[in-house]
Amino acid sequence: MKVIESDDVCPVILVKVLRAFRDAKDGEEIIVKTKWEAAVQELRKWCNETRNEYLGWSREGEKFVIKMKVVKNK
Amino acid sequence: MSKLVILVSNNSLDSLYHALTLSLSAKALSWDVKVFVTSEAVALFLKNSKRKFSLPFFARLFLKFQIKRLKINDAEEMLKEALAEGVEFYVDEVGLKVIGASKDDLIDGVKLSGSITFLTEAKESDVVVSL
Repeated sequence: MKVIESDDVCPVILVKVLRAFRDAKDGEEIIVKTKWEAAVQELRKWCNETRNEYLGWSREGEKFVIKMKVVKNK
Repeated sequence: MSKLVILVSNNSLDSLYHALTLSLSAKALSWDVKVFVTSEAVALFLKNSKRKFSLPFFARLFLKFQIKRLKINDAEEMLKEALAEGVEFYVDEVGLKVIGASKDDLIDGVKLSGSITFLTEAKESDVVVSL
């Protein structure tokens, strides 16, 4: 499991997710914790476009916690 | 692979910030991205030590204001990330000369271009954005 905790603007978070994805194994989870609400929607769309699995999101205080599962064998 | 070409053609650093935003997002989707900068925003692509020279006083003041207003450290960080992820940046030679800089003053990885390069790249792209 890889956890990205970042309050960077959305595109920077996306790049961090991309790097985590490159290092991840098939089936591994990537969790993003951020203050940016738009990241919820952006990462869901990123999963759709890149055919990774979007597992959903929740709130943790002020943070949005977004969970994804890496799909390498497409 | 999809391809995005962005043209930053006005003097607003806001536009450059938006270009960086789109570039990084497109790279996250594994798109090929090329950004063409044809304005005084080329100043952001100069090595630190060369950034201020030859700009008229008010232009320098304006740039300083813009940098502060836009929290340009974020933009610089985004630029570094974009270069690291393979976004290709092209700056207009005329814009470079307007601010009194040359090719040698550009940060590593940034190239010079003209309108033909932009047009041929734009012609082959899936998405073209002008800011």
